[in-house]
Amino acid sequence: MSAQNTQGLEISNLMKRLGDNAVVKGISLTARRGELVCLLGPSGCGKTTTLRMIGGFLSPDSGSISLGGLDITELPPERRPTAMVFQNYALWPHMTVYKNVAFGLRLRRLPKTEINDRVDAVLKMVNLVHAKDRHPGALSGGEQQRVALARALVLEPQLLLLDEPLSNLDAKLRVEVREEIREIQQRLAITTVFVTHDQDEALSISDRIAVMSGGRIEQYSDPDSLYRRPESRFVAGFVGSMNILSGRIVAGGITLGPDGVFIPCDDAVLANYGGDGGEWEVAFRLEDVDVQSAGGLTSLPHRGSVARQVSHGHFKEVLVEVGEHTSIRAYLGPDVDLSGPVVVSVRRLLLYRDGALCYESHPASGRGQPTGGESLPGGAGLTSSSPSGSLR
Amino acid sequence: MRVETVATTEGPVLTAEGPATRRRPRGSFGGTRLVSIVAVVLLFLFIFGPLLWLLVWAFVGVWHYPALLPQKWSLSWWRQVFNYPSLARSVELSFLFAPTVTALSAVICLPAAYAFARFRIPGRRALMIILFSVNAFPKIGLYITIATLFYALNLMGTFLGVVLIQLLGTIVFMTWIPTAAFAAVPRSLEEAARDVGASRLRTFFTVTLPLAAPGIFVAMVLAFLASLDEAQGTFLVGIPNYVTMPVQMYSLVSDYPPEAAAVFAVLLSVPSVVLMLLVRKHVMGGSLARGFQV
Amino acid sequence: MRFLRRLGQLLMVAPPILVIGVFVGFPIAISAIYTLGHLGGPNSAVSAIGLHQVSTKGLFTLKVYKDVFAERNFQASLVASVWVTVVSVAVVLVLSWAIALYAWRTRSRLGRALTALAVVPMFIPVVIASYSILQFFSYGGFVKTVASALGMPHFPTLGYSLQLVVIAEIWVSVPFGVLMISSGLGGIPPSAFEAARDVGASVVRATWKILVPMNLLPTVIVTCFTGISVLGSFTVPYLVGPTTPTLLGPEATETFQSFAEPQQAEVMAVALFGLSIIVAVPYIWATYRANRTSRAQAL
Repeated sequence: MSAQNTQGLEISNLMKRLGDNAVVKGISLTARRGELVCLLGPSGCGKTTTLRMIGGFLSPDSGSISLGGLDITELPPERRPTAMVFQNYALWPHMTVYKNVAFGLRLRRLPKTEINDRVDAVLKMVNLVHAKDRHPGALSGGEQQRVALARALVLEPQLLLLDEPLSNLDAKLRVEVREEIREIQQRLAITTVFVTHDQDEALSISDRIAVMSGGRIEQYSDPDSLYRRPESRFVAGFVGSMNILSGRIVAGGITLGPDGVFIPCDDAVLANYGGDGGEWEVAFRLEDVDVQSAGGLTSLPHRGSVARQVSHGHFKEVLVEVGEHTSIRAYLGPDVDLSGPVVVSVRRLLLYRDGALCYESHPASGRGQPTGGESLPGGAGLTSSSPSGSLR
Repeated sequence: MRVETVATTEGPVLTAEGPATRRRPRGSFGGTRLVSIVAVVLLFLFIFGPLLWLLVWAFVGVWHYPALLPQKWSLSWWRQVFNYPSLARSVELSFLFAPTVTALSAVICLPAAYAFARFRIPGRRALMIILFSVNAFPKIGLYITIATLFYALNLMGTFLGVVLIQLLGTIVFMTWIPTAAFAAVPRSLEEAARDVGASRLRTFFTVTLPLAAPGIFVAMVLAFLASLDEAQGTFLVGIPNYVTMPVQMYSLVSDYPPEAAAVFAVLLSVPSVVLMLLVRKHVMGGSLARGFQV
Repeated sequence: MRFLRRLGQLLMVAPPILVIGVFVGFPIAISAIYTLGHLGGPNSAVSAIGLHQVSTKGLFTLKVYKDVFAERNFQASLVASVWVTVVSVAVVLVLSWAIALYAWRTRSRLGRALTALAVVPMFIPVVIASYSILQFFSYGGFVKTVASALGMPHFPTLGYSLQLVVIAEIWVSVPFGVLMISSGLGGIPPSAFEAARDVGASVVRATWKILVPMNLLPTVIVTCFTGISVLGSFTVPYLVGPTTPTLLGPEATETFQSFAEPQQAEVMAVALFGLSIIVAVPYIWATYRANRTSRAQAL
């Protein structure tokens, strides 16, 4: 494991100012050989700047980048064993598809036959043999994207860099192409850094995801733990849908929002956190909310009513007003019909204070996990209890 | 390239819009049609009329007003003009100066254009505007005092002197248009070339230069034409050793009948027309227009 | 290393600046001093051949300016220059917009053909253009011939008139106008116009309120560049225009070459330059503004 680690990408304490802006404020990250790592974050978080430093198009103010154990921080792009797929593809419009792909090989003065073979092979891999002699202007967006990928892959780089490669494609194509990219990446076992602002994309194809914000990495973990166990308030709000409300711990559950609505939560350990009586930021996934018809139990304090329902086909998103100023969103099965008063309870929740995760409950075993200083190893034992894969 | 793709996707939208606009009840359909036909004819007459009229005059033997057509056609003036002693020399000179001036102007301006487009030059905009506004000083005012400089540098009546005076008129667009052309090449295309292993120099010659070529080409043709067209400065500096075609044209206009001047004018237009056909596509494609909005 | 790179970049920019500085900037500076009464130094060669020169022992004198501005001929030429420039620029603007707009709105082959047609004069040497326009409109020319064939033998000829100067200036300037305006329009998405039509604006109003503001920079460029080139033109007024009043370009040339009054000619040149700079102000303003907004968008 650790021997392989040195073969991959190792970034340590990278910093970069552009003009007066500190865009990247100390980023450290490793990617094992053959791993696909996503840099995910809102625009302006420094993810593209980081990628451009890895590619050699920007030189970092401090920090180092090494690849396969070799320090490449000072190398110009043409001497790095990296290959980039640009956001707008950056195909050379005056060259045919063949020439675009072959250009890098020609620079390496390979024999003609070998160039031919390798270009043919890579074009076959991306299904573009038919477009070999066309110019990029005559191709569709998806085809252009594949040419850009082929141009990068043909050089058999140690590290593949993808800068929002799918952002110019329409929704359906985007899903197709990302699977293709993942498939090729795994087949070639090529270490890859993928920049995107689309969490769906990141969650579905990455081995690990680095969520970035304000020039720093907020969390770096595999997709499942990222989703189930966001380590910071920012990640909780950024990845997936989440109810985040201020609340206090009371016996048998929590009181939420300005109304102090009581929501039961079946978690014995939770009560330990109510001791200081202080406020928490309480976060829980929409699929961790139970909504049931109140029936005759009209006197219960936490009853509410469904204010809005949005059908997503195979599931339903509902907005429940539990108090005058407090509402909770939940995912329910498609056939659930809720009219009249409802009661709401939460199966699993996370507590944040000062932006950091302090506690997560795990209802299946009936015990919670304090998250204190040290973090858990790679999300072990945190298999989610609901089928989060199908949800956003 | 990307811009062109956008344009093609917009095409259908507009064709769909076309008929809808015409269907508007405002104004009669036939009326607007007639107006546009008349406008086209008038424009054609305005642009080409004088040139065609001159072309006819070049083949006139006898033509007395107010006859609609010449009474007698003839090629005699062509013979006369070709026998005109200094004609061959002036043609030769014009085609010696024009390429020289164009090449020199390119050598001086193209590196600057690249630097303006790609590097952070302090006061870039101010420099480019000064370049242009200084050129707005009336030529005659310039020539009066430039003479002092030329005498001092022994440039009066020399080949280099004429080249220099013609060069001055080409600097502005030889800098502006290629600057825009270089700036219009997306940086990511250059980065992509560096990424696959091309050096800076290699990247410039295989990616940047070919993509900026139309703009550079347009600028060079304009420089060529400007040199071919320049008369006033060439007259002041070149006389009597260097009489180029347009300078010759001035004396022809006053000394000879219109037939001879017409023949000479037709001859003088040939290179321009050929060049026009060469660069028409790029000029219309916006290479020139872009140069003025750097 | 970084310093060397900076130096290299500045060296690349230097040649055109130096050429213009030495062969244009420097002579202009000398000219300015000369017009203020300094005949010695670099101006001694010119002043040796000049007549009616004014010199000063003080810092400067404005006598030459006063003399020239008091001359009837000069005043007439100044007025003529401004008049011809204003009319030419106005017609060029209207014509360019009309052609470019027609091509943009219809996207028809005819529209493209018109644009191509209007660009032709750019490639015709001005000497030839002027001469052919003179032949076309003057006595015995096409216009007169056709008029007389149509039974109007007394149709006025325009040869050697300021009107003909205007016509020729338009002929020479239209290509640039059409190119700039149509290229600018080409960058405007049709939806911008359609959206205005959709909310109920008439074609004229949508053009005036949407297209003109969106295409302001090219319009300003056409106005300023055409204005400056007409103001300073020599060949066109010299070949097709009257002797007096003529434009300031030929007037200054005449003053220098025929009357041997270089100092007075320089004063005219400086006056013309002053006018040109005034005309250039909107261009400078517009490009700075456009640059600022585009930079703001990029950030």
